[in-house]
Amino acid sequence: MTPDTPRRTVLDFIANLDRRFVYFLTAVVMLIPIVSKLEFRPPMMLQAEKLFNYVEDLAREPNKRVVMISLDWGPQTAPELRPATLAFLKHVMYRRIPVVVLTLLNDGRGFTEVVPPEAAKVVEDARRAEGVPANEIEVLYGRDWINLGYRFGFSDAIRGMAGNLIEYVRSDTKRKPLEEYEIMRNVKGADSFSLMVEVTGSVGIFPAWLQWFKQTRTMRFALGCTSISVPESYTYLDSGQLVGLFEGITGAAAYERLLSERLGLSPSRDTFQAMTTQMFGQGLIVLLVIVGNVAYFMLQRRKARESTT
Amino acid sequence: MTKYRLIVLVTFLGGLYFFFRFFLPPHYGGDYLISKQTWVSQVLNVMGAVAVGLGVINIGMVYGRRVVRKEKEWPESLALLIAFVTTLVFGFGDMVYRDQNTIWNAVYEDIIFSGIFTSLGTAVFSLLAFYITQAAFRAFRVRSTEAALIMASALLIMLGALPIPVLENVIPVWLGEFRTWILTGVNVGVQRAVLLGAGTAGLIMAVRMWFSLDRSAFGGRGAGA
Repeated sequence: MTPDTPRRTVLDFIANLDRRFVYFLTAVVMLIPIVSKLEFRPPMMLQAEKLFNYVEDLAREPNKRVVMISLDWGPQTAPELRPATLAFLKHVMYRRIPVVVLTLLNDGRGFTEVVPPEAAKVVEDARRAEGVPANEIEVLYGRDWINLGYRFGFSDAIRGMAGNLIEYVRSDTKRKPLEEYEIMRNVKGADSFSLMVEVTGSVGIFPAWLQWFKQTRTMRFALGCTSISVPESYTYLDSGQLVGLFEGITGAAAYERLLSERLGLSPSRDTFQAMTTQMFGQGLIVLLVIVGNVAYFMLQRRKARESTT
Repeated sequence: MTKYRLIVLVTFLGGLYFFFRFFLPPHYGGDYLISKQTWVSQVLNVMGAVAVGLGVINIGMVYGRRVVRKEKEWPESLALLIAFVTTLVFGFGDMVYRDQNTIWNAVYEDIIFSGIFTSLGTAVFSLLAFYITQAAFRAFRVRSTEAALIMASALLIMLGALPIPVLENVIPVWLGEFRTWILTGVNVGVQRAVLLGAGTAGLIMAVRMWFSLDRSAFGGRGAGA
């Protein structure tokens, strides 16, 4: 090192961390909870609790109206949104509230066929453990839930279903006419539903549901969104258009906690672990930002000192 | 009638339907237009399906030409075409033999959708975690008052949402309340302003499209050109 070469200190190293080092650190930190199977207990989330209580209220109604859930997510946002979908479906199926499943995204079609049976299995296992009579255990397709699959047309599909769902959709994914299913007996349009739950990480889909699916009777909306779109969702909470919200993976984990503590349903370990992993990632970001700024300030002070001497 | 005028006319008539559907009072034709909504939706679905068909032909022409002429990046084009045709064939097979245990369902659902598409989609999106960490580390430096405000609110919101057991007694209660205030107060006002701006821009854009004033839709031609 020549006398003119600036001296690289630890401060310089921290303030200008190589990006490959940050990537490596991220991978290591996020692998810790995955490898060690570490799980944090989810916090109580007010919005998740509001939605939970609303579903409980619906379950107490003598003539339970159908609820709808739109799985408008694909593989990209599945780690955050699949747990939210699963938690909600477990709840309504357990409470025997009929649920209509569909998606407006082509990517979501496969998940409409996988996630509801998964939820049904958890509910059936819980009923078996509770000693429910054998003929009341099964969550039946066509009576307790139905899959309308991928509906092409975005806002136009929403408008069509809001007016006359049976006429617009005509058949389910098994290509049987909707009129043949018990669950669709009293369904016409948006008026027939008590709750519409949109689960999405995409911009613009939920406002489209709000604009086009609202009809004359009391029907509420709920939203499951990725952590990054939580701030936008608060606008709809503030206006009272949302009855509750899954705030990313933490909201889904909080809902699982409620299902476990209040209904005795076995919680999804994957959801808790995904939340913990995300927490580790967020913790690392907070730590890096603080350390980076401390190093930056100390370097600035050193430079100021050196320039005066 | 030229092709350009036909497009302008159809666009105007299409826009006219939606305009009157919303603005006509129920007893002055509004109800009638609403009753035709399902029919209009089906027409739009058919048009969308035609557009998808055009997209398929386009993919075949663009990437097929590259492979046949061995142009630059032809192996990638070949991979795209093979993936496209395989998904198409097994996708149709899965549709025909729905709810049956055939090779079509197994290949499409287990290999193409769950094995390849879902895994690749999730893996690519997970790269965001690395980029966000790196970007946050580089960008959140207190170089000005504005940067300090943004960084402080971002940090406090993240800290307020971290349910780490060891920090439960360390993080003060007011931090959670502060997070709620930022999200329900400051954030809501800003989001509404953004939405209002975007909505107004969308309305202007819609009017321009309706009257075919937007020249980009006609490849540079049009009334506004």
